[in-house]
Amino acid sequence: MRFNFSRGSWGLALALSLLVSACGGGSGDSKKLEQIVDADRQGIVSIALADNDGYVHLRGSKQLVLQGTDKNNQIVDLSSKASWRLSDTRLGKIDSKGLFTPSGESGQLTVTASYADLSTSQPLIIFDADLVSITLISETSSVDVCKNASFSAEALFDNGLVLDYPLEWRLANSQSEELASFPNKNQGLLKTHKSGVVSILAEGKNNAGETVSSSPLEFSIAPTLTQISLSAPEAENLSLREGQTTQLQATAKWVNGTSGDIITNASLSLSDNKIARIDSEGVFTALTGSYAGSEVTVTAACDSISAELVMTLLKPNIRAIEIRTNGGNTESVSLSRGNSTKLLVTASFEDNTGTDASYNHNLRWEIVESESDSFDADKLRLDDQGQLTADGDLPMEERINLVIEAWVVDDEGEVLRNSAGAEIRDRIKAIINL
Amino acid sequence: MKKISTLLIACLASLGAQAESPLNYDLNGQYVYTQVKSAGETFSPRLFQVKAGVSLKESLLAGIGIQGQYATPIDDSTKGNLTLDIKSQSGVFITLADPNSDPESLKFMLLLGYGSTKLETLDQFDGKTSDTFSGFAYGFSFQQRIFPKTPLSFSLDCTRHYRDSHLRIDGCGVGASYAF
Repeated sequence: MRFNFSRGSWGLALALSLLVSACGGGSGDSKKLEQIVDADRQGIVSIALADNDGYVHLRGSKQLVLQGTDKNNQIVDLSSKASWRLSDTRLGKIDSKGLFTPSGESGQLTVTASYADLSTSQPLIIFDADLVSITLISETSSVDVCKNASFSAEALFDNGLVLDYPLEWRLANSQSEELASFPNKNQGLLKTHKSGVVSILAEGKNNAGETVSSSPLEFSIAPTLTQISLSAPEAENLSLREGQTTQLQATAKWVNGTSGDIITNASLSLSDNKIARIDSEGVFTALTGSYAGSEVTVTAACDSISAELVMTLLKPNIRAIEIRTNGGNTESVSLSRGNSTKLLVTASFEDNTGTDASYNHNLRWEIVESESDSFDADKLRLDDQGQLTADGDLPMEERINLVIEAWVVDDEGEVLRNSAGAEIRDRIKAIINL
Repeated sequence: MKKISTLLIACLASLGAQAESPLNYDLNGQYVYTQVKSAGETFSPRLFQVKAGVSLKESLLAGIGIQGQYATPIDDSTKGNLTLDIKSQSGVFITLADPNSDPESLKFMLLLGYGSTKLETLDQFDGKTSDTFSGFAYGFSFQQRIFPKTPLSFSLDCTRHYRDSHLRIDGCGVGASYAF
């Protein structure tokens, strides 16, 4: 008996190949090769670590930056391409982009950054001095409302050094919280929403775990906004189909003539939260649409100025339809003279996004006379809702065979095509019995 | 080298000539076009490759075999100021073919195993560096007899010799095989 490509044969071949592969040992330094190719492409001739104080608190972290110099003396950031190494891995770890994080022990080590065949080193001191005070720094004393403002802080330690330190940012009181916010408490980026004066501060923990706060900084948010306009540049005709999303833009103008997108600063709301959704980044999602189009109004407001945008929500595009009877027969429908029956349609949406078992929007119904037996059109009728009626006095000597067809059309009556280019239509046989 | 090759071929031929032998032997020579991709660049050095294979023909595991490959450089490839050369490339593969396929029809074979490629780079700033990249390798091969009932076949192979997030080494070759 031959072992003709059975599972066992494949399994044995795979096991043997893995065994062969495992016997071979490790691979080479492919990252270094990548650096050599990259260095040649960028024309890097030398590297150096960017100037830094060489200190990191054991509660903090330090981003080291490897700079390359190319043939034209241009500086290139190579931090994410370099290979980073520590002389003592007990004191901390360094990631592939040069971010050093202490393990919680003080000491000194050497950081080495390598790129292609070049390398450079620097000492790094991990210290555990105690936090004494925090001083806030702001480049300006005010900002236009609905813009962001950046702050930094200097942390002073009991050894006299002023160094980077992990701090948390917050607003000092509830009145300030109505005007602005820090979306990420670990970053000194203030988002403003209303004009007024806010009080901000930064806090850090000392070695005893006690909170050390900066003095509050009074900062002015200027009432300089003059206009907001809301748009959805990527949404054709401002309409979306169910499940689709689009990025909204809120363009603001200020008294000094500047303008900018304030969608993340503006307060966003919808006229109907059941059929659509909008997040804080201005991403609008259509949840429930209709074939004719359902409208929802988006409002963006900032410092008492607002703008509105009406979006239209549609059902998904139709891929195909299927005619069926009340009993679910999709092949044929039987009807006796003197009776009436309603034909139903199931629509299947593009991209397998679902079906609609009660589809009846913009359907054109027709009895295909060229493929049907002759009949009296006054006594045997098919209306535009798919209702097939055979009057009791319909003249007939034997059963009448019909072919009924339905098309999906647009508002002008043109037959629609699906994404594959095929007309969206279906047929069913109808038998009229005596 | 010539003596060793001659001896190897003669040895394999004598083994294959034994009527009761449950094994198939073949020897192959190929011109290989490689693609070495790294840091968005593609280098295409070319190689000459010799392959020797043996497979079972009359057993429960008919169709399974083992193949050894060795390639030497024909030329290197240069992009910008960097020249990349494959100094050598070797591999050991388990081969899997349909034992019931018609000998006169196109033969398909899968290769799974271990590949090793020694690369050398030469750059005006970094100078010459070389490293060997080894690991799991896989590929496929097509063979078609040149003339009916003769032992000579055309061959077309494609093999992935190495892949990780920084480097990819692929090769496709055309050549001829002799079945003993």
